[in-house]
Amino acid sequence: MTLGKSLSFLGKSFVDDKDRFKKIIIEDLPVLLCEDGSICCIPKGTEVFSSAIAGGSGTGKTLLANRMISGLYWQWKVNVAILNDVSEETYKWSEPMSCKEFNNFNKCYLNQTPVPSPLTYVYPNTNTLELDREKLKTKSYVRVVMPFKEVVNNLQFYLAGVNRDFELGKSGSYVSLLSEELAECESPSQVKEVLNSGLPGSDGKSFQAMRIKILTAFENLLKEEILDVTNPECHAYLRLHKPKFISNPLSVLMKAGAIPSLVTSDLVGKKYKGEIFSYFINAIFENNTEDFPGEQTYLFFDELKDVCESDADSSARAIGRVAQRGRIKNVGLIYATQFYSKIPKSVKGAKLNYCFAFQHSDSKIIDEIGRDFDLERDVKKQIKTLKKFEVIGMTNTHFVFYRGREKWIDDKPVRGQIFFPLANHHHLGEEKNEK
Amino acid sequence: MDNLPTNVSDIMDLEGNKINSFKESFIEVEYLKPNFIFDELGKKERPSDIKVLQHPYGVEDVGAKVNIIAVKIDVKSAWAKRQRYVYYIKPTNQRIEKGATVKKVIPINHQIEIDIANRKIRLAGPHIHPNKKETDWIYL
Repeated sequence: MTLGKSLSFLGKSFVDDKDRFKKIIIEDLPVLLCEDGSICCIPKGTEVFSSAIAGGSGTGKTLLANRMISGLYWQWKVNVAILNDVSEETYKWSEPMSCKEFNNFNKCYLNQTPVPSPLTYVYPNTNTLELDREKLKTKSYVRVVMPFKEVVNNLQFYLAGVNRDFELGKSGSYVSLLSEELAECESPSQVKEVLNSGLPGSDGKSFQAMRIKILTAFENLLKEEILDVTNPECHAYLRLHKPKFISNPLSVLMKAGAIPSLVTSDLVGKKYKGEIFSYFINAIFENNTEDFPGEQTYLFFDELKDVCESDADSSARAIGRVAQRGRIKNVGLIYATQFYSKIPKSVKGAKLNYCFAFQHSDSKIIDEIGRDFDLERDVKKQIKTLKKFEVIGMTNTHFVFYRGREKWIDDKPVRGQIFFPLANHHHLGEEKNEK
Repeated sequence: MDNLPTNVSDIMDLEGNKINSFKESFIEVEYLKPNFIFDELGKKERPSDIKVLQHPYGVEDVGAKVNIIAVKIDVKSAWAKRQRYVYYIKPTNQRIEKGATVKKVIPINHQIEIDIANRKIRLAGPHIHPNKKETDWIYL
């Protein structure tokens, strides 16, 4: 013990600074500042977690998601993919936070300075997609398409996405016979040529109904421009030289250390939206252990209702697979939603590890959250009266808390204010800054 | 602090062409892990050693210089039976509010608690606060 410390009872000035001031570095993921001044964190573990962020519009859901994503990327150094940005909210995330009030809060409690998230914007190509080149001048972005082979191998699945009532039925066997030839096509005319010559009934007499059915279906598919047959600017696969790696664009971007953000604003209203989501989800999920051995990957969905509404949706099945088997494949799941009660059963079927509930006035939703996390009546009441940026954190495992030299774990619901994002945020950062 | 490890500009298409829309714009970024500094002495407290006094004589003996202040309240504002005053304590060097009086004795059913180990003092009793039985601690 130093002389200063032994004389500390006489006054604080007698203690050496290095004995007096202790620096605590948090390895867990800070999410809330609790009412008692403690810092509530998601514990860093060897297994991935699944988390829901529920709350009404404008309560702070996406702010918390932004914070969690940069924490996962920077602090835990895991792979992160944002799989639906409907309102182009993530454009600002690749810039450091500009709101002084938020930055002061983070500096005060966590000694953190603003930092951008390295987002690369990924646009699924369609016949209506128009990129705002001016807006993207300083950003990294890429247009992507579905691999032709993938579509040919699951033709019924994708054709149903273009035309809901389409049933390939027994005619599917004729297309399967041509799948190898089709997979080698490089232009729409080549596809048509293969179909015309390969399908039975080229004499114009027999099998005419089946021919027309298949040709029309392919025509619809090509019209949507979601396939990789013509445009050299649109990529179904990308390649990284070091380390040598060829895969779907999202996985390659993660391998290169970026956070891919699938901008899906153009897909709103498209019938095959679900098929595109499920392709990318499956592509990351199925190959995660081979593409990223020993690494964790998190998929984030902002407003889950825009991705899937019922269990029948192909995207719901794909997300459900991640929710159920994500632990084995090292793929975690985070989603934000205004409609907690409308999350498809296949997605919610697996137990959620964490849920962050912002202010909600819908009793049905609050009751549903209460059932899933065994909440007492008092806590459910609190959800109705939460202020902006205030949240109640719930867990089926546990949270880690830090306060001064103390560190403890607890599994009870906790109320607090969210830590603000380190990366900038759409609108909010701008508005505050202008003030 | 960490430097960002992105190398998106190295990404190519399957023919080996660079993707022109990829920009390397995060090279200079530095990240600070969340951390905080706490004052080792700031919250250091010894195990409590509380001495209860029913009479103000002993207060000065431990070096405490506090007054017991009484503020008269009307019957409607009272929360206890036959309550006429609200009591609290204040260091002797602080001003007393208008209308408040200094009590020379400890009010009936009240007591002064002194934590000798941590050198702090408070007043306890039914006429302190509608929801609390003691005042906050005053550090000596």
